[in-house]
Amino acid sequence: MKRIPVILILCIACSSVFAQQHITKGQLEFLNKDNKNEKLLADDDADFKNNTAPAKWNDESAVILSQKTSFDFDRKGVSTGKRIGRNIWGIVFALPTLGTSLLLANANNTTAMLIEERERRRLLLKDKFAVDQYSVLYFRLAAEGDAFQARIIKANGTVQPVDLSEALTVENIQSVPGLFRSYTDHRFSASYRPDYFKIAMPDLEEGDIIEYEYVNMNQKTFTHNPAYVEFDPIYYLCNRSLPVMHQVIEVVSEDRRYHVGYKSLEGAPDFTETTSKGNKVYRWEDNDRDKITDTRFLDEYLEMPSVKFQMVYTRNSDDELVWYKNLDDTKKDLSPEDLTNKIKAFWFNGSKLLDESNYAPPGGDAGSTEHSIYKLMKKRGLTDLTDDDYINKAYYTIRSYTLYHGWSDYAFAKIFAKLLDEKHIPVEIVVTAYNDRTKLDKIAFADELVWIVKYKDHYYCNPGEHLNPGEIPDNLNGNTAVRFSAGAENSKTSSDIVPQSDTLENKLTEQISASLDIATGNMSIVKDVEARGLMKEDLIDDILALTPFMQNDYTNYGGTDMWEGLSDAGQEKAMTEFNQQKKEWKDEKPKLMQARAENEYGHRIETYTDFKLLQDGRSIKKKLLKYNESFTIGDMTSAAGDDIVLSLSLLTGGQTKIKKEERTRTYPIDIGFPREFLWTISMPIPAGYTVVGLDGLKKNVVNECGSFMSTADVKDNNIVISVKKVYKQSKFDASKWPLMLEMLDAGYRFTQSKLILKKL
Amino acid sequence: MRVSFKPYLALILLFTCAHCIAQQQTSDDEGGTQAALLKKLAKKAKYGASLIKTDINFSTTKGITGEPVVTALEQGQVEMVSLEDNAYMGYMLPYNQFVKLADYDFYIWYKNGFKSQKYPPEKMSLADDNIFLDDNYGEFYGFKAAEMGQRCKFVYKYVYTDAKYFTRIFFHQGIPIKENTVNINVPSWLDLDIQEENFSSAYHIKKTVHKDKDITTYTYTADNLEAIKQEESSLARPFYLPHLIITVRSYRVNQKKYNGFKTLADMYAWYNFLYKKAGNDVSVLKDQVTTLTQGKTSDEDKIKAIYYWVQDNIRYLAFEEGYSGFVPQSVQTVFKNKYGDCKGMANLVTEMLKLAGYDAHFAWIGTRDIPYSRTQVQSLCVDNHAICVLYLNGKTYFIDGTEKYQALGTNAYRISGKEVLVQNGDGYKVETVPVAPLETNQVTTTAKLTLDDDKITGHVILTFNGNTRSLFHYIYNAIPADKRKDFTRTLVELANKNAEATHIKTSDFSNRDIPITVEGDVEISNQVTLVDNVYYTGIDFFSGTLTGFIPDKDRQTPIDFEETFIDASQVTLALPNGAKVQAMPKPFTGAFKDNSLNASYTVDGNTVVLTKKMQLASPVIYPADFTAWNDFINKVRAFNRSDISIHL
Repeated sequence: MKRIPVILILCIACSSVFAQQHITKGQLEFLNKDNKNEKLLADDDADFKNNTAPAKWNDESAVILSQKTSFDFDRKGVSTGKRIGRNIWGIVFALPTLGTSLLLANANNTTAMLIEERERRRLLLKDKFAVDQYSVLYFRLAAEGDAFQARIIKANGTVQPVDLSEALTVENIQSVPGLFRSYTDHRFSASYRPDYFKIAMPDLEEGDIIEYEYVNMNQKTFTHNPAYVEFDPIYYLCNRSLPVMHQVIEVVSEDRRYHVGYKSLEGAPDFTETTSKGNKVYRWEDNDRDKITDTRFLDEYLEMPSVKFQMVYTRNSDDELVWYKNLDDTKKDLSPEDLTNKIKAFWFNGSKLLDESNYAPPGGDAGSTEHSIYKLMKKRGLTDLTDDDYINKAYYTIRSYTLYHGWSDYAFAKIFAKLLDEKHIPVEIVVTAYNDRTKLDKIAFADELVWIVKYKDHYYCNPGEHLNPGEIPDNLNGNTAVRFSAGAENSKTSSDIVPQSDTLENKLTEQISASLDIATGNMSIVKDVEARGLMKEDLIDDILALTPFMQNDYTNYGGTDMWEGLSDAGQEKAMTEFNQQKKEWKDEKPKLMQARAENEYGHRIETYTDFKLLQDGRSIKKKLLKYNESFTIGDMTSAAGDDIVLSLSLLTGGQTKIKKEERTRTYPIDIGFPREFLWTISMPIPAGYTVVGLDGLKKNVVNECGSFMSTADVKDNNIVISVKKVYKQSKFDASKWPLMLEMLDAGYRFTQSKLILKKL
Repeated sequence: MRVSFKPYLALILLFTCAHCIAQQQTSDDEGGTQAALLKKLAKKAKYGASLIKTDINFSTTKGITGEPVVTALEQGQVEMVSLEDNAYMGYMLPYNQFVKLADYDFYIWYKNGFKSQKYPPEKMSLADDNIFLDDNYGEFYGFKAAEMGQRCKFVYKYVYTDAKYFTRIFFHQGIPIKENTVNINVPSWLDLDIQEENFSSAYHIKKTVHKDKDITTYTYTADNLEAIKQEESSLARPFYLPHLIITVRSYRVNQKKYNGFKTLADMYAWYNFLYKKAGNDVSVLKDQVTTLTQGKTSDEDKIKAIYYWVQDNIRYLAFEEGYSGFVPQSVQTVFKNKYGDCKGMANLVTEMLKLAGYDAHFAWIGTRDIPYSRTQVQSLCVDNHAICVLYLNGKTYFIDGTEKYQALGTNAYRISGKEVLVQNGDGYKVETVPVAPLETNQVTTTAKLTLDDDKITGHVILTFNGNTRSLFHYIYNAIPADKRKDFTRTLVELANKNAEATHIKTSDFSNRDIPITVEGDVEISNQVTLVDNVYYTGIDFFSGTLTGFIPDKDRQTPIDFEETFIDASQVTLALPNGAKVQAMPKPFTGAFKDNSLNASYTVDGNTVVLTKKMQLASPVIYPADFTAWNDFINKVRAFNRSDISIHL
């Protein structure tokens, strides 16, 4: 029943002034007009003939009978309004405002590319969960040409159209499920809040089929006529969250300046190319896919059937930056020569890339950014340093930018190489691809390239937030690559391997001192943690969150202090705000770490006493991340008469439990990177007790995948447990799964093993 | 009358939308003094109100029935002060079709006085995530105060288009308040009832009455009010926060006397007026009713067929836009759409039952979130839900279409014990939903296990009755069909990750009239520690129960479990031949009010038996009882950390 407001202080999300309300008559008229023009839910579409699902999916919640996603790049033959990106409000209010709204709506119109994206989906809803999930559908009505229709096909075949006059505006557009948002639409932001509507599906029951189709007219706008544009790539796994009977992707190019780069992987079907009405049509069709299952240690984009594609625009249709010149090329793996030629074209003739937002550093082009950084370094007196010191300072200066605003790898490599060139330091460029995304010979478009700068034996990767000079992130670790001189286009290109760190370099060490309160079963913990290499990379975001680590960053890049460059007034204001922020972080950090500890140990943390960041690991001289913490963890014991059963082994955190259904495996195993864990746990034996059962904690499994070794002893009246766990490599063949299970099982059994404190 | 505090989450986003006017502000001595006082009330608050003052006056206008109705004009002033540098301060005023925000202004202290800010407030929807359509909006002013002691002022006017919708006044808010004064100016032509709720000595609320000519002014002044926090599992605020319930009993216009809600009959008349606006066309239901009841011979079976069809086929979507918050959707609309809110579902099931020849009635009810008795309070804040009441053979049934898995004759906890206002033509009835005996809401677990070397194997049976059965149905049906076997398997595995269940069997889940049973074989590894010919093991698989409800040390609000039930388990462990129990825990009895845990380990021949019964019958834990509650929970935790040892 009705809520009646009570005056209370509420602070809520700022939303559009067009809050929840019924669709207006004007909006509905436009929607109906667009729906009519776009011929939605056409019955003659051969991709949408099926209304039944095979018996093998009887136990599924829902089945995608058919879905088709179509992209029409730079849609021609549409009205002027669509081409100039006229928004729906401009049109709706055109009459009462005597056209002023149209002028305002188009006031910012500039060079624009128009993509018509169309999504049609037919789903069989087999249970209540599915009916609830699709009880409300959403659609966008923000640009001229946006369209939407839905219908229900009852079990007896009756078709019931959905009346959109009952639609309501969506107040919080962030609540619109991803299913109803087009791939080529912009991300929602404070400045982009398109109007969405929701419609309750009437007369919806288990066994019904729902079918909907929407068209979104999406624009990519530029302040000038660009020479080269990459649209966001799409990575598409054939197996979806629901079983799929039939799925289609169609890409239509109405202009020869648009080029499709694509690759089908692991048995996924290829695109076919046809011509229709003078347009190139690339069609991908796939059938009969079970739903995706959650598999441990699996890199889905490398091992499962998938397709990836990207549309690229070049002003010159024969531009050498076009990755694939024809469809046949896409079906072959890239040869080293091909790859080299393409990479060099991008490096040496890619000035136009730096005009393009995906490649340029935020807020400027590479040239001016490099120039201002060099000028700043000169002002700081850093340009007179030795080459090695200069390189490090240049790297850290860039990191002081990328800490707050991400740069593309290309922008980083260009700017860093140029900064080094200022000092005539010769560098090479190493190009590879992220190993959790693709292999080098399967690269389908330039967006997949990763650019690294090499000087002597050091590889300098895009620093992001925390990397030190020479540190390599896990998704580049040990990758195959090509290398060439940054300054000489005709220089020889060689193949290369990005250095791979091993278990000695990627190490986590935890020294845990525990003491037991017999009466409560609580255990006080003091824990010293040291992380190096990629283990540091794994931890650093969590550990540095809500700490003022950035306040000393100037020592890395050779600045004078954190507030360098600000006026006195600006500095005072910034310091006040930062100090206040630090105060809040100080309160919040223990809560964050407490939640982290509860998650790690699966036990209630009774009190979280202290956290100290000893070393942030962000400096060349102190690369290790070090911190300590202390807390009290509950329920670590149980009583058996006078004896105490002690779960000390749980302090190694959650070891992986492999379930029965996971014990057979066909996919390769992806561990991420080689690593070593070392735990040393010590706890004084409480007065009046002796410890037994130490042998149960002794495990020793060593094989070619890794090892799990643990010892448990009594030293100076302390129980001392030492554990070493090693993953030797980053990837293993599926045939090694039994060996992997041996060590994982040993680890899990260790955590379940108990010690007995026997009453003397 | 619910208030959603979900919006607090996006505080910063809102402030980024507010106009930036920091350059105009200055703090002053008065602001510093106020800030220091408020800091004592709430150390961590970023801002607070030094003074809130509200004046309420009454008038009349023509209502939707054509007769005069009382309107209320609320004029408010909120003076705030920042308690920290760089504090974001703001005030949001909600409104809807019945409560209109006529004016809203914002002032910031600048040098010698408050200076009006000449820009409009931000407008936003306050639609609740759980409501499909409502008309609740809000307007917001806010700014960033550079210094502690910066003052600002919000001035507003609300118009209640009908004083029926002016139901309550709370003194507390989400910020600390030094002083909150409410003046209710009652003219002599108006008989206004002001009921004081929760005016305990814990709160400093002063009341004065002043008569000036035809106006009697009731002034309530509350001071030193803590900020009310939003905390999980909190008891509804009307149960413990002081507030006033406002009821227009009667009024005179042009010498003629009109009744507001003078009696329950008046309130019913208003409800019935709105109810009749539904405009039902029951003819569309006839075929469906015939189909559902065909072949059913008993009344109970016919009623169940209709009730369960509504539960299964009508989805819940709430509509609270204007009068749609009070007028039920027509039966033809709900039947066609197959969705509706509580009123729509109650209306539909009532008319379907009537068509089948039964004595069914639409009815209004307040759930357990509302503390008031219908006989004591005649105000719209008494009700927040609608159901159907059915009379059959001397029995009264309470039929709630929004409950998706409720068996006929059983009632959800949220309405049990509550009074129901039953539509009955020009008259009405008041019924009370019975409270089910605690024993009927019971989960029972029986595990017959055998210790065999270092493994424990056996058979587990779980049974769910009463509302625990309904809860099971809710959870089970909220899981996609392909994941449901995982859910039942986890139950048989006693939520123990070392257990693996096989041969799982269940009762017929499509029959909501029978208890739920889930059973299967189980094998549990890593549960036994063998040292020096002694087995150490635990057979208490329910050790986590209740321990998640330990209040944080700074918890402010009462905990409400919103359920009562019994969880009973019996675990037997057959020992290997020749083995003898070396040690086992002593029997345990612990209680907090009507909540208790009783458990005992016994030996029966070669078998250890753990019998455990947890009863949750006092679902609300008040802050004053937190120490005792924690003590109870810690004793339970200590017992739960019990193993047995067995000598071979």
